[in-house]
Amino acid sequence: MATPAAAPTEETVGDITYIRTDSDLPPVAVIDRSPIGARHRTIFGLIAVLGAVAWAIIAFFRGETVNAVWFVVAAICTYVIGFRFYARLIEMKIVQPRDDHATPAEIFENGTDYMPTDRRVLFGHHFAAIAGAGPLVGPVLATQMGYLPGTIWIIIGAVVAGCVQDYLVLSISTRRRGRSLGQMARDELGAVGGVAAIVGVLVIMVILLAVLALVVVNALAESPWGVFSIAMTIPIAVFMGLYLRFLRPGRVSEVSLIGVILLLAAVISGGWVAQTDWGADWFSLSKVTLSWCIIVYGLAASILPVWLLLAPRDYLSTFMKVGTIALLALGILLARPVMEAPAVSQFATRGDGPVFAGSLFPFLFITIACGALSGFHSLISSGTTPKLLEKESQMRLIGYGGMLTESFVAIMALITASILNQHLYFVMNAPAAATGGAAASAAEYANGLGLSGAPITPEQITAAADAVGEHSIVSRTGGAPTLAIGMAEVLHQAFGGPSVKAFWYHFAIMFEALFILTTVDAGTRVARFMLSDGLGNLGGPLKKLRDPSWRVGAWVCSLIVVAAWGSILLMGVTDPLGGINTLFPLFGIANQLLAAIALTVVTVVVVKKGLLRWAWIPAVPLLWDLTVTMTASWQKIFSADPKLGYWKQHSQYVAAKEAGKTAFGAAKTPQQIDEVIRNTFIQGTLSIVFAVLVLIVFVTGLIVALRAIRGEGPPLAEEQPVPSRLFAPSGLIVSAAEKEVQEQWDASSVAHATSRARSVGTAHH
Amino acid sequence: MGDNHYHRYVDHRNRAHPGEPVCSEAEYWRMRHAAADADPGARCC
Repeated sequence: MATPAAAPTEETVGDITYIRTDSDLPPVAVIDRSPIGARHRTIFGLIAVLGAVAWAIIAFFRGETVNAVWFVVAAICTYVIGFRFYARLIEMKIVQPRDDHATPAEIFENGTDYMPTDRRVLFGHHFAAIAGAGPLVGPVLATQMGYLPGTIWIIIGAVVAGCVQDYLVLSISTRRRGRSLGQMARDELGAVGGVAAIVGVLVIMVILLAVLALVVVNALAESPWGVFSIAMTIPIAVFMGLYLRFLRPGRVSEVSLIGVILLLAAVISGGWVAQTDWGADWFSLSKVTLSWCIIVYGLAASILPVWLLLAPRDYLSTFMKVGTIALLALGILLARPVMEAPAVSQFATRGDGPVFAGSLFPFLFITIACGALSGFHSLISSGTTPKLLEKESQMRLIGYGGMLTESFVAIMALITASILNQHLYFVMNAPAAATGGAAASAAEYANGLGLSGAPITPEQITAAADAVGEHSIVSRTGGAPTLAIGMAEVLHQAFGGPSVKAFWYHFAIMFEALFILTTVDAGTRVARFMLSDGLGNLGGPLKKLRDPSWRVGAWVCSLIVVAAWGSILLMGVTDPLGGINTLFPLFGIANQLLAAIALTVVTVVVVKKGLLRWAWIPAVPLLWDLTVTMTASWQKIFSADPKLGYWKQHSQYVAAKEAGKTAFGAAKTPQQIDEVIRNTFIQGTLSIVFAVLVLIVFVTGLIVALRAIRGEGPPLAEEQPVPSRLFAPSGLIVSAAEKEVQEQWDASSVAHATSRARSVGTAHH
Repeated sequence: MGDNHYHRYVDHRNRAHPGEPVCSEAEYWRMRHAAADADPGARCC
């Protein structure tokens, strides 16, 4: 650990200030105050104009030929302007990075989990950790309302809400030795707010795992090809784990490459396994069987050693995630598909869409979830990333820039869903209770929706299923199959032609299922640790739970966590009302409520720092998010529309049961009526629990902030700064002054063998 | 992806504790995985 030294010395040459913390070492920080030049002005002016043109085409051009490329252009131009100007404003007014202060990575450097890592490598790590199935699935479901509302919220929401949250959480955690969101809530809001935040995180985690597992089950049920290729990922991961443990430790890229090749082989061979009798027999699993498989897998993965299953799967899914997303972006630019979805659909205002119930406000914002603002990112931005961060000034690139990339992933998902035939979209995404589950009834249903374009025939539905190697694509809800069909459409046009469409479909399904399952097993483990830590804090005999090597405790806590999400999963797959359209809103609300907790903590810190004038930067997204989530929770709890309100639905089915009916609404048997009564009770209760926990956190935050404004209350929990002894550039592009300083460090490291010249991650090993 | 993690650990040990013996690559990864077993990193949706 570095020791506190004398005050840093500053030296200013022109517009550039160099700061040294040790007179024997080159500068550790370069502050460039040069005004924006004519060349930059022209470049950003052109980007702004191009972005405005793209937005105008998306928003006002009516006809059926809006090209997907305009969405990519509008997104990228908006991101550049947002990153250059809004993120810079936040940096100057709120974050105020100090590169002469050491980050947690430098202070506690141990060569393992604390390690100053090159900004480009860390950007990749951070992005891989925050990106999952959420930004892919949410926008697909949101396409029900047309492409325009979703596009606006994904791009603008990211710039003013999601990125702000990620960036500010990263900055406050970095100043607090990399503490987690729960710990920071306890430090800044006091015991009550802290406990509510920790319980909230745990409950929200459980619903997240259940819904993601439900998405996988819906994508794989009755699909022998899909089940085979996903099942093969387990032996492949175990092989990789053994290879890394015993054959060639540390050769991560090598083993990941082998893993990806084996994975592609599994997807290809899945095609002919599914055509054999035994293959179709073994791997055609019902939703309930598949759910039990995932539950058993989740339990095993959380108990087995990390090196055997979890770590190699993580490598595999990171590789696939980054590779496939890059491939999809390239495919969209090459295939340049045209939008089939309307700009704003009839369901946006009527609020009776079959994919998810509720009108545009608030349910569009709930459904898109991770693509624009995701509370879960605050768990990565606090705790994980600060331990690898080199310089405070790099937080803008990692925190804000990482979320911009995720928003771009969401835009691509929205494009892939919007280029599909709209009749086909609703055939796939409406629950089986509406489509009847067969091609003929589904065609009749979709043609009755009053969509634009030619009506669909049952033969077209069957042909679409055949083209991707599936028996049926009717009511494959959850978003993943729709995305996979859209991706197969884009990718077969760009690479390989119609003969490989089925391969691309199953490749896309495997890619989504792979990282959903990685989230499920890692999430189960994380939730298990939160639970044992939380229970351990209660004291008494439970204190023993805090010892992570106590196996019995680990098993019991794993079992509780898996039982919690597993029962919600089973509830979702057997639900007569269709699991996704009742459970996905709950997941969206949970995720957005977590964002409300994170933004409350951030706003309180900004107020406590005395930056009241700039508190609107986190406060505006916070208030917007609270309005959205509280309206959605209110409607889910109190709405008199049975499609929307859990309790209204509950009371209707209770009344039907008491009246002695044997079939009511979507329930065809007395047993199904009982299931609906139980499910709506659980869903309604969870809605109340989420909303109450978040309101507790928000009200505590408000009290703490008001006391801080009056000059009372506890002080800020920031740690004492430690002078930094290393240098690294701030942005992606190295400035001339930074380059010069880097050269001084390179020269000095030859003289002092004990100092480091180059950041790790890029050195020539 | 982690290929250079062992090298940077060796660099760190040599810089921070010069002269002390450094564990082998296999031992290093065992230590890393044991640490991940004891405290998992979060993952997102």
